[in-house]
Amino acid sequence: MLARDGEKKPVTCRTHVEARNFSVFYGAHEAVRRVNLAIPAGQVTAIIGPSGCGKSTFLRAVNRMNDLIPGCRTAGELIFDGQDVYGGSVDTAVLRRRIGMVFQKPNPFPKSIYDNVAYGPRLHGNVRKAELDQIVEASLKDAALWDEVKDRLGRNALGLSGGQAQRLCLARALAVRPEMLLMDEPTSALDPKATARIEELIVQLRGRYTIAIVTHNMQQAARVSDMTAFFFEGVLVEFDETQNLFTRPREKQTEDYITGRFG
Amino acid sequence: MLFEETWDYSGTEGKKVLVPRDATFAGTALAPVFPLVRAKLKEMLRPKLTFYPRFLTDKSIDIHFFGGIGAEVAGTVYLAIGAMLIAVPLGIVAAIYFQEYANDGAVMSFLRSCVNTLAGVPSIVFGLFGLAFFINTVHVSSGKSVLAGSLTLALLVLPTVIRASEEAIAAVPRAYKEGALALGASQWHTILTVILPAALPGILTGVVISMGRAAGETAPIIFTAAVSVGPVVKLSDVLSQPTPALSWNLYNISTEHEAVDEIRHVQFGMAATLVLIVLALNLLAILIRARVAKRLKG
Repeated sequence: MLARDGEKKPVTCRTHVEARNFSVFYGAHEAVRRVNLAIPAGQVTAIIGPSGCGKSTFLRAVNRMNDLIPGCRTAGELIFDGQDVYGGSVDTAVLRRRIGMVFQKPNPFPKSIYDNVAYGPRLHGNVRKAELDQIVEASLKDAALWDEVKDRLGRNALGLSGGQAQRLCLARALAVRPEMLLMDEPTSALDPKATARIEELIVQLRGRYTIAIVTHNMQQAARVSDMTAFFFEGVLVEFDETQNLFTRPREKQTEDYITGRFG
Repeated sequence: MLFEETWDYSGTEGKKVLVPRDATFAGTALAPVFPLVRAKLKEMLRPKLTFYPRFLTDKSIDIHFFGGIGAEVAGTVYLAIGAMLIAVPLGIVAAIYFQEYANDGAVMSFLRSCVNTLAGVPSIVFGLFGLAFFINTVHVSSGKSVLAGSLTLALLVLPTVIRASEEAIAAVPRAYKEGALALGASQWHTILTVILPAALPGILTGVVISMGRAAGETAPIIFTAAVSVGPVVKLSDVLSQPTPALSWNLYNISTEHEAVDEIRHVQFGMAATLVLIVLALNLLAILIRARVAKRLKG
């Protein structure tokens, strides 16, 4: 357990993402049902729940990755930084630049380590080589990968281990300088040691970025997050400070889940 | 060589008479040659295994007993490369459209079955279509030309190129695409910078195999590009001039040439050249595929 109760920011801080009666449908199936949730800026919010409870769907709705799925539509409002993500004037490319994402399985491109991290910055106009080098170095340092790869930036990223590849994906997301990070079960494909490194990183990045992390690992949620949301069958059952949710859950379903009675 | 041809006009009609030459030359120093030739004629005409590189570049002449197959080799190379220059960009664009943009509507499934049907059309039909459409309707050239032949061959290999490219694009992990889109890349940018590079080896394999097919096809070029004899076509003339080509001329000198039996060596040489070209292209495809498999393993 990371003892940092003293450094916790007050709950009254700025809301970065707010769902208002927000639903996601796959065809006729309502995967996320009328969720009301406010994710505070600069904090780590964990989303937990059994498989198929809609937690990943909700997360992927924030940067509109669900747009890729045919037959997927939404109802209600999802506000990011004061603007409805599903509003007519939203440019998904701009939205996704502001909200980075790390996926369940590390997905580095089959390019060099350098090119992976430089991919995002290169998208957004002409960056000078020196500046790009700087961004790549800073991002890899933020992802605690720099020391391991600084001598082989030109090598293919597919040669990295799973944990290294996931940190590379994190560096790649950070290189775009997003305001928020979405992490969709980022450690479920990693061994315990690599998992611990990612968790350390999440704690280090807390404060600089708003982080939302989906996890099926309750210990992980307890270790890294300030706030925890418990989803069940598409419904947000409970949302509270992590410590409260795990020690004094208000709902029976939450208690059953965190004590391992189902899920 | 063994007989002298004379005509006997003693009757009402002229009659051909073959006088054996060994009788004519009996008693001279040449006399022993004739029984020898008679006994070994078949063997003498059978080509011997030898490697003569200039055979590939020497100009080809009508009698074919002498000379090489330079014009045929050049023609085949022109036609195969020309067909690829047309079919590859078209095929890749079509594959991208089918895989990344098209929805699963009725129009799309109709277009897909069109592509599949195209792959099953006999090649002679392509040849006739090329003559009727490219030469007689669109008038890409006044008669047979390398251009018309390349266009026809391009149509023939287009379904193969489309299918190979589609499969290569479909095999690119979805995660790559999601990764790029999540960084704020547009769909088109994602295709250009992530999907196509990852699919390129697979696409290249299809392209090289198609090129082997285009080099070997005979029927599509009979009416659109091939002539039985001609000079090496200059690059500046490919839009208007016809050319000899290995596939069609191999057929021609093996069946329709006046001296079919006497030019076995050229027939064998031409066949070997064509087989080697196609074999080399297919080996190249296998090499590319092997390299990809290795790279994907990490």
